[in-house]
Amino acid sequence: MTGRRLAFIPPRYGEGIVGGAELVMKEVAHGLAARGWEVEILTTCARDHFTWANEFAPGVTRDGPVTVRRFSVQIDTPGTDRRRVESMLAQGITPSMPDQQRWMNDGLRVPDLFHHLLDNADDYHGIVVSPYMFWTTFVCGQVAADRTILRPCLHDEPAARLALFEPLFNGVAGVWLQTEPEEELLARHFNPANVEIVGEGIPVPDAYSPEKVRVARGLPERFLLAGGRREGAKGWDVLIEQYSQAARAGIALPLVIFGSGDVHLDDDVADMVIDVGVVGSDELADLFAAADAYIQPSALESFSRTIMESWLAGTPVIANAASDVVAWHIGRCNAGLLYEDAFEFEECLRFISEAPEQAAALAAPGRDYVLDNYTWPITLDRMESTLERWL
Amino acid sequence: MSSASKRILMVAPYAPYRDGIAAYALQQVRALRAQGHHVEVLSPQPSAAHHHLNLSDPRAVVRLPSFAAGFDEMIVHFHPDYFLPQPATFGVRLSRFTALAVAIRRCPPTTLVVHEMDARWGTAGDISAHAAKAFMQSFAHIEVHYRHQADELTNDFGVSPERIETVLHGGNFRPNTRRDRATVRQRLGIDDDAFVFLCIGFVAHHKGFDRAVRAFRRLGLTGDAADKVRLDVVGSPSTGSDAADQYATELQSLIAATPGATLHQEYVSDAAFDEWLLACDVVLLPYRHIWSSSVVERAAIFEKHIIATAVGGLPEQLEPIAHARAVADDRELATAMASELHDAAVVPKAFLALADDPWDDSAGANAVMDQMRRRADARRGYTFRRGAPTNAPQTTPAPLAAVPSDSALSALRRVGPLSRPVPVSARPGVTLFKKVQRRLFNWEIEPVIAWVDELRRATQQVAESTTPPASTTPPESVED
Repeated sequence: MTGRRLAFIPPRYGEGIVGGAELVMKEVAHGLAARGWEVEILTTCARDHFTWANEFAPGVTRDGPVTVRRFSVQIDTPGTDRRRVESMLAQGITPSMPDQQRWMNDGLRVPDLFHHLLDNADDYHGIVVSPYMFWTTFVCGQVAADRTILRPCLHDEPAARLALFEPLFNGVAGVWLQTEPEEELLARHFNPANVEIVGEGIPVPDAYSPEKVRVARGLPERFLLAGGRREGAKGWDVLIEQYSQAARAGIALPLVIFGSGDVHLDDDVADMVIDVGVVGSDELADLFAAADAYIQPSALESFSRTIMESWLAGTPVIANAASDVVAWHIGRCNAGLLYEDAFEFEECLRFISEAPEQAAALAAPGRDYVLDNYTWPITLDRMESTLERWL
Repeated sequence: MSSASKRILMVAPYAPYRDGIAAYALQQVRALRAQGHHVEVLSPQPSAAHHHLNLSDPRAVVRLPSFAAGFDEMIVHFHPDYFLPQPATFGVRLSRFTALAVAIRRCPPTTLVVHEMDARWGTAGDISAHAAKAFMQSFAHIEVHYRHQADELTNDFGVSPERIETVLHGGNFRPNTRRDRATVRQRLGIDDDAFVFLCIGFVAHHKGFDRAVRAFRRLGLTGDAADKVRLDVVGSPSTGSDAADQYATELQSLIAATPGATLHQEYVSDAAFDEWLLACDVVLLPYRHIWSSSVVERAAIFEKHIIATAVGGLPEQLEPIAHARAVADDRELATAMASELHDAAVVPKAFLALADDPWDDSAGANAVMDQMRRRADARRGYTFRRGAPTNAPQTTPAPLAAVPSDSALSALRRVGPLSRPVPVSARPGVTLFKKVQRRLFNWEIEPVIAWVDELRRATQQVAESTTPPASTTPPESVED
């Protein structure tokens, strides 16, 4: 075994990939490589987590100090078991263990990645897998469990209660968590050997240029911002519905959206929404700085990186109160508003629209909150400490 | 296996599925790849294998040779559950074995690793036996783990002895934990001085974990020994079938009524599996039937004492292992457990109170009736609420002081999942009719069953959350 060799196994890796967990894995890998660890990324050839099409070539490449080994995704199952089990979960029915196993294996599978790890696991001092629900994490996380660290990004969702995941959570050497609510959720369902809240780091931009992005993208002076993975599971459909309702009620702030995923808008509000698609990190920072407020509609957040980026840029957050984690962050720093339903959402927008100075002041404690708790040096120190103690 | 690098296709259940054969196959793949061979796996369900094929469907099995094309060798891990729909009726055996025999003959030289085979299929006296023999004889090479298994294949399936090799069962096994015993005991919440009997693996009727619980009760431990000695049953229901769930429910009830016994109904990781083995003192395998056991091999890695029932290949498997003994029945199982306690100086021999007391008929039929009922209660795990015995005078009912205080809860626990009859029949055509009928009405019946089961689970949860813990009264007075 190489004393300082680490493998990171995210389901996707590379440019143009939208997903907080994948992004953090990349930043941790690069951060630890900069601290002298020999880091390999073991990942798929996929870019899109809906199609899982093999868009990158399989094989070995370099990304700065990090070695990237890509393996082809194999999808040759109809997805019927997956849909059936997800329907059961949605109805509150607990599937049998065989059904849970079929659910896990009725989607992307990466046999070459699994066998690479099977052959070479002993060469790594540590193996980091994330997030918990993906096949790559579930399967690879059990190959050499005693040297594996799971970064689950756990949400309070039906899948988190499946017994299928017990061997993964309870078998690994340790679990990296991001927040206390995530730790409470973990303790309700699993009993890992070691757990530590390591948080995650948010890169701090040197400067912001809100005007630059306004000009480049033709954006209005004032707007709301939302983005990320634009999916139903992330509260996107409800956001669009609630925003449309607010717009029809007279809220005149346009909504700028970024990220990946289809967006379906009614005709009467379509020209109020500006889609800038997937953007780079510099431009995203400028977008946060230019916005009047950032909206986080997701109830399924294990950390919520984007609200941190918003606070760093001095922009207040309007968030779905159903997310324990986001509510916890806002409760600690008071740099945002939480809404329970469409009515509260509309009133939040009215506040941003009618009291811009007070809204900006609301964001003020957010930046210090991020700098005090969630920078990479702090996070990497915590992670390195666990690598020494657990492995 | 020669040392030259080869292309090998392995047909086996595989990770992330978690059963003994999948684990065995995984370890064999790891070992073969480490020797430089190119190994791909074909599994009966989608998995981490490169290929998958429904091996119990004869129409799919005919495609097996196309998967095997380009490989130098094939290795097939056989267990009836993966190749034959259950129950394995005459028609099932005839069609599957015929399809497999034809397919295997069109594949590269193939090694069969037999994990279980019903010898009666080779001596059935009908045409299905010819199909079963043709299947077994289609392999270039057959590996078994024990000599008696080789004898069965020769005698019942007509396989030439030269083709059969007895290989070491745990040859590719290695520990899945690097922790030491003290650490894992601390992690599992086991005191340093505790004496731990362990049953581990999938919870299924044929594994007989209930026998271990009853044997544990028969030890009649009291005082310090009762505090010190424990039985841990670790595992989850094997298939998710109604029968498996029903058995798990019964086992749960029995254990709940047995002080010192604990059910850890978990889907354990490979590491946790080995850590339980490492932490325990004696591994119990009270199986009702089995061909051979991976648990024995894993327990041997950690040099554990083993007590197993003498079924299938277990006696032969235990033979070379130090501190392993085979027992014939439940009474011997309890005696062997008592002996382990005595040998470990946990209790003096005189203290052991095995339930071998003679029936006490000196006080008349009523006393016998009372004793009979208490024995039955102990075996059942809970008590029926009865009036006075019919042949008793008008006195108070027989004392049941030692019956656990949560017997009502135990009874509730025994309410198993709502199950539907299996759509099979020995009568020609009726199986098809039942399957069609099930398919027609499935969409209506499934939600009802699911909700009834949810209601059952919820009721049990509510009852458990509102019922005080069971009495820790030593069980010996229950037993005898």
